[in-house]
Amino acid sequence: MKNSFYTSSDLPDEKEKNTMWEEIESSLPKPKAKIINVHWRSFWIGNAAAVLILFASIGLFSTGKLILENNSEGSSDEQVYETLSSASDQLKDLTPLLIEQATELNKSSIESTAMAIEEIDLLIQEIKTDMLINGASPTKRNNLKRLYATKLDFYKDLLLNEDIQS
Amino acid sequence: MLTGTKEIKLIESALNGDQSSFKELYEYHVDGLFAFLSQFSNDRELVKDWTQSAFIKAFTKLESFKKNSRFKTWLFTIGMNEMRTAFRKKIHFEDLSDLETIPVEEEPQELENWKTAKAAIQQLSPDKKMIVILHIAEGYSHREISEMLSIKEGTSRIILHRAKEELRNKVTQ
Repeated sequence: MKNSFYTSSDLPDEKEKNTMWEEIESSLPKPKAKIINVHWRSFWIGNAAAVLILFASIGLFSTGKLILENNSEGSSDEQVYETLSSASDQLKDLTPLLIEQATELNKSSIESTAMAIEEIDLLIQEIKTDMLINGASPTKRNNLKRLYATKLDFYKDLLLNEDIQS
Repeated sequence: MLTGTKEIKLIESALNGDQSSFKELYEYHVDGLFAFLSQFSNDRELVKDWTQSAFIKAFTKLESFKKNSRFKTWLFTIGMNEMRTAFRKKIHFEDLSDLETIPVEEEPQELENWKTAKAAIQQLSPDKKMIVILHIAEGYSHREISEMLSIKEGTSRIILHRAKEELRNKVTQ
């Protein structure tokens, strides 16, 4: 209704429209070339993350390597302890025989040596348990070996003592 | 028909550099703006200049367009400013809002009758002609006219009232 106020002579013809558009188009803002914006904060955070990841990777690699080394070392130690343990277990049967054959004079000496061996066994068990729970260390391994050696020394004393007596 | 939503999408695309959206907005609004501005001059070249200047300004300042208003209203405001600049501010709106009181609004059928008096409208002074056309032909309210021309709403009402009296006299002569 309201547009009936205007007549066709009030409207631009196609040629006028095209002429106007060409003028307008030439003044339009040109599409901006895509600019790669560097978001500096993200850039630095990303870099810091990369450095942290690198350090973490190095740490993981070192730890893994150490664990592998420790495992191989631990397993060889384990074999030594097992052998020592079975050897001393076999020697354990020797003690009652020696006591049986010993003279009354030597019996008490043999019995006290056997008690010392039992004390050493307790210490061995304690160190083994500690190594199982808290892990092995060179000191613990040395202590264990020393205890086994002492135990074997006691057995040697027992045998030699018997030889001297006989 | 260009819906408000479609128009907003076109404006957003144009803002993102899509040249075809500018063309679409132009094609939809060029007839209306040209027809409106042609009421103020018989020189078509001059009307073409106003029209294209209005579009260039609207498109280059598109980011300042507030999407809660109509694009047409904004474009017409720019077009009228172009025209008023060309007339070297001869279209002057005197603040009349405190000088007289007028009836609130005429009946719509009376407004329809004004359309038959187009020849008489052409003889009105530019300020009266502008308000008559904006109100009767384009359907803008006095509030919208006051915002478009930066005048008081009362001034728009009084100028329209006076214009109608003048037209009534011319038609009945």
